[in-house]
Amino acid sequence: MSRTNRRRTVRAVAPVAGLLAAGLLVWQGSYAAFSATTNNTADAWSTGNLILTNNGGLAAYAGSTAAIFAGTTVGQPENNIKIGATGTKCITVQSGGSFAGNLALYRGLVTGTGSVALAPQIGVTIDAAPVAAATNVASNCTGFPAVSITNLGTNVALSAYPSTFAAATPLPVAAGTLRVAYRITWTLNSTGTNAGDNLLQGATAQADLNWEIQ
Amino acid sequence: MSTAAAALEPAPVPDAPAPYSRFRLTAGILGRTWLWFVAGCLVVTLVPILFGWRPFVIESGSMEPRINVGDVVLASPETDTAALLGRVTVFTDPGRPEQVKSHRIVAINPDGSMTSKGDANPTVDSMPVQVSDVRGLGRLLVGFVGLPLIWAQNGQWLYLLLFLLSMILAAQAMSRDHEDDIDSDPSDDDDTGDAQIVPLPQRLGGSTGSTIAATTPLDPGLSFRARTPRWVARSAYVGLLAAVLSIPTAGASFAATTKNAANAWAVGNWDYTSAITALGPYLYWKLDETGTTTTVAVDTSGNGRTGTYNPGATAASFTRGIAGALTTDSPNLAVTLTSATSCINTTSTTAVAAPAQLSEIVWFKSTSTTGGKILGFEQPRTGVAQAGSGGTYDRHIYMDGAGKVWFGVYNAGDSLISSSTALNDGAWHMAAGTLGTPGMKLYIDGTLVGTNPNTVGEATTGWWRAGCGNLAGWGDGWTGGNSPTTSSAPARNYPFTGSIDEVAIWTTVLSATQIRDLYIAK
Repeated sequence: MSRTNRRRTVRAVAPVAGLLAAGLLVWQGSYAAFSATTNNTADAWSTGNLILTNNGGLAAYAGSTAAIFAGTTVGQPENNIKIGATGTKCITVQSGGSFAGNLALYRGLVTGTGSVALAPQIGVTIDAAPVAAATNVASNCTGFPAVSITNLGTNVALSAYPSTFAAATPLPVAAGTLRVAYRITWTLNSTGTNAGDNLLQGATAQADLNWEIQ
Repeated sequence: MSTAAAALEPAPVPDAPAPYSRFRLTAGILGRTWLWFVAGCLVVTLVPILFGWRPFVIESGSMEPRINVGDVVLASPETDTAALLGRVTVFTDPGRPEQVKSHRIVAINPDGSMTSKGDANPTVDSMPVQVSDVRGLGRLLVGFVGLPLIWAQNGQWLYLLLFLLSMILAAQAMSRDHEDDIDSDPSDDDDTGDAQIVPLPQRLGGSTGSTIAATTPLDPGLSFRARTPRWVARSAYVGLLAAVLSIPTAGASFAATTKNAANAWAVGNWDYTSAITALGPYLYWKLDETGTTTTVAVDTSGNGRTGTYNPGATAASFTRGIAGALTTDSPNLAVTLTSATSCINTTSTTAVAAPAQLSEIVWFKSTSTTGGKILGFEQPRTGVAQAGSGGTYDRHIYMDGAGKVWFGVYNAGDSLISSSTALNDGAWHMAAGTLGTPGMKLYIDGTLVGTNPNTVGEATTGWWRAGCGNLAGWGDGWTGGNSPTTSSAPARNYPFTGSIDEVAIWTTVLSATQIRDLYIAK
């Protein structure tokens, strides 16, 4: 075999090696990601993540999710309401994570009972303001900031409030642990006619409040 | 052939092999391996398109560590949710239809939609994925291939430049190496295996490509063969790169959610009866009595101011127990006045002073065109008497011949408010009159329809009655027939032809809100 031929043989290894490497890359990656036995229960935190919790309006920040508006409980301000009734409560949301993102508040699916829908008559006014990471604004709104307030809707019908992250007003938040206090004021608005208001009797409306950071 | 291309491909020198160079050989092999590697990745990325699979470049890292930014996910069409469960799925982001997302399906919802989640996200995605959103099931992951696209998107031109430079250097190293080794027998092809990649240019190069591909193996290393139209191979390679750059991207966005669940509001089941009693009425006749000869109209105020159906013992005078005005009341009953003498009078024979502050509410239903007194404060207790001769009658709500409803108070003259519209439409209506410091007000169905500045009523004593009474002299503004005149009949009964329900009297002035809330609690 000539020197030329030897070199040529050596060179022939190159395409094989290149293609092999490519195939290995694809096979290995695909196997790890797509095999049916891939364990997907454990969250992977290798590179970064975002965390979001809320205080449920409680006096101490413990990541509660209890509803702040408890209209189903007799004696609560949201129970047994009349036209024109109003109330304000606050809740604190904590974000943590390795990325800055946009925090948005949107409502969940509205459910309810009654001969007519109540949600269109529940007008919500929502303000958000950043608070210090150690500050906990509870449902009584003590400590809600007077500055840097972002209005997220004024007397917007609960049923018309954004229901997706994309539709909600984003609030830019930086990376790291920080908190945003939300002040939610609701009013039972009249339908405009006494007969219409009459039909609201006994109606209930229920919706989750969702926060999402992306 | 362009000058730049010429630089990459020095002309062959057939009869004078260049001096042997180990360095050139090593560099050439490395360059060739690199180019083949890249080409292999590109081919693997693009060939599945032939089978209907779709490639997506991953843009963000919420599927890390298994899927990284810049990886290409190849997804096959799949609409069976059971097959998607637990698998990485590419779908149109339900929240942002302009974006494609590559997350894992973690649950199938009862309605057939699916819940998705990024492996690196603490919570599931907020919006359910519909089957129609699914673009495909992740099948193959080609690492890094999409990075040039990501770099281009992010403006990381340096990385892009370095990558392109590495390709050029590799090509150059190969060319230099090849100069050492120009074979006298060009037909001895060391790269016959390349023919396996033939389908590729067919897809990418169009008609020309297919012709060439049939006869020419594609060497991604820009192989030298004098007879090969090298620009074709080169074009194919550039085409591959371009094809990869045109792969759509799929986000795998980082996200987290928190929920304040089940916030609820409940409107009171306003009960009219308890709403009335909560306002502390002076008397409250619900008129829920049944039976044909009942005489007692119970006072629900708790003050014991009962009324008397008069003449109660006569079955022809009243139809009791008809459907009342309150849809939420139980029992919801009312009474129809069925004779010209039917009346509901205060039972007590002791006259009381006419209240200075006053609210009176009555529900009525009528199709009458003769009008009549619905509710009022009157002397004597039963029957009628001429004004000035033992008869006083004001603070009354009455209907005129055209069906308009009036609220009249006597203060050295008639102070009047009327409804603007006729209410003798056969439906239940609520009339509420208030008198006192704020003046006079008349509400129909909970809405204020008129005011009068008069604040004082006739100073007298008497009794409350409903359904009958004297109206002589109260003809001011009267519309329709049966207008009451003092001169012709000073002591005449003007019975109300219709039904009455829920008579309530206060010795206070109720607010507009209180009266509205009463109405909407009906």
